[in-house]
Amino acid sequence: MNLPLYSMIRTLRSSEEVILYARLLRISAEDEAATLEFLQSEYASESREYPGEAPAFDADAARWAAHTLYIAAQVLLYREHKSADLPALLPAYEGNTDAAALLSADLCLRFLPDVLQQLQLIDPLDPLNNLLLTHLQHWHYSGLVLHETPEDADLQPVLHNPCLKQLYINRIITCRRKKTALLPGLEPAVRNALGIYDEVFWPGFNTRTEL
Amino acid sequence: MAANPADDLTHFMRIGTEQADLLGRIRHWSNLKIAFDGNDIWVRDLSAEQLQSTDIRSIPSKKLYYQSGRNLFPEGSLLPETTVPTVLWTPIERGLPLQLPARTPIAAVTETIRIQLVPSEEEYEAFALLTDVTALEKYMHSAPAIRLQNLQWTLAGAHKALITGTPLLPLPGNVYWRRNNQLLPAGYDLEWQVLGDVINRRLDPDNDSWIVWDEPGSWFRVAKKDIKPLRTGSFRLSIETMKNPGL
Repeated sequence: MNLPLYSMIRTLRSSEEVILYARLLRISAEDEAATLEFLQSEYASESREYPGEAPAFDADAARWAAHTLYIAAQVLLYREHKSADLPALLPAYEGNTDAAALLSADLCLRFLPDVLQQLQLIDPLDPLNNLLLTHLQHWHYSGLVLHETPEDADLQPVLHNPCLKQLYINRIITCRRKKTALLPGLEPAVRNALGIYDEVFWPGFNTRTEL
Repeated sequence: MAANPADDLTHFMRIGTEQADLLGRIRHWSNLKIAFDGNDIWVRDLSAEQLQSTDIRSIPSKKLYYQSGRNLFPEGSLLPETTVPTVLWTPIERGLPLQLPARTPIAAVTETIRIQLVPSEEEYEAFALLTDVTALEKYMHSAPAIRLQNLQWTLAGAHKALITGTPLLPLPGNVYWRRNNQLLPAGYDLEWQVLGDVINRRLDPDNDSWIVWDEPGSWFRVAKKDIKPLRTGSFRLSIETMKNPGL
């Protein structure tokens, strides 16, 4: 049985390596189902570590994220298409990006910044760059790994879900995203998390620097 | 250069047996020989320097002689007083065997000491926190990952959780500082600090546990291998298992 998408996502999530098992852009329904099932169990085990109540698994967002990551890796290695075809290969997500979607998609999307970094090493002018960056700016929870949250990002799902909000703050602190940390909606919670030990956990957090 | 003629002479010292204890301080001069003769103790082969030393000079009512032929002359005298005693000479180390004191200070003590804690002025860094499981559970519900990363925890009894590592969590409970394997309540110390090591060996012979004290001086032991990193997932599993032991 040949399940290139499932095999890739599985390897990625267990050993954090991308291995492409086939040179295929089309994904079979069977492959997709296996991948979703796997991602759902991954989400269940990961959400044990989440603070508070984890939102339900959003299969559509997870599927879209797995697709996007898979196609991005394929296109990174085997470029057979014109640049104009790229938006069609990597479409934007059509559903609602609520807390469940942000977290479910993050299972795969958190690896997208690494793909992007590889791409920048190979060809910084590739239009794929911008396309992936746009996706990451929209999926800003995963995007935090790479950059600050853009100003026009929709923070409402984050602020209204305590679980995602805490995870968001954890990631802000881990990745030292100071500009995002000082956003009005997030700053009190970040300070709350750091407590009086802000200089221990985040040296320089309180130093006024030009952002 | 002529050698000091005094060096060639054999010097003797005679003291009474009641003064035998005073010889203890020269017992390490291994060139000396000693003999017992009735109420007298004879020491021979003293060198000129040894004669001048404080250790000899401070011995009261001694008699010092030098030997010429078979006669013994008092130091500084030209008239012989006696002859070399015909006694059995033995090296001083053998002649004066060491005796362990009859009272051995440690083994013979039969009194017991009550180990207790007293308020202490010293300031130590906090190391551990004993808190209610319910309080911890509430905190873990929205715990920032950064606060948990350096912490370990274990259940202590049915309702308490012991958290080690710093910075401590902002939870109500007892704070402890650490000396070796002992966790002492903040602001308190053992009344007999010198016994710290002994207590450690006695209470924790395998050196693999934390000994947690409380103010009245009682204690409990927590095996270090039972202490696990504090993570939301493992904490939840422990609590679930605790609430449903049948699972």
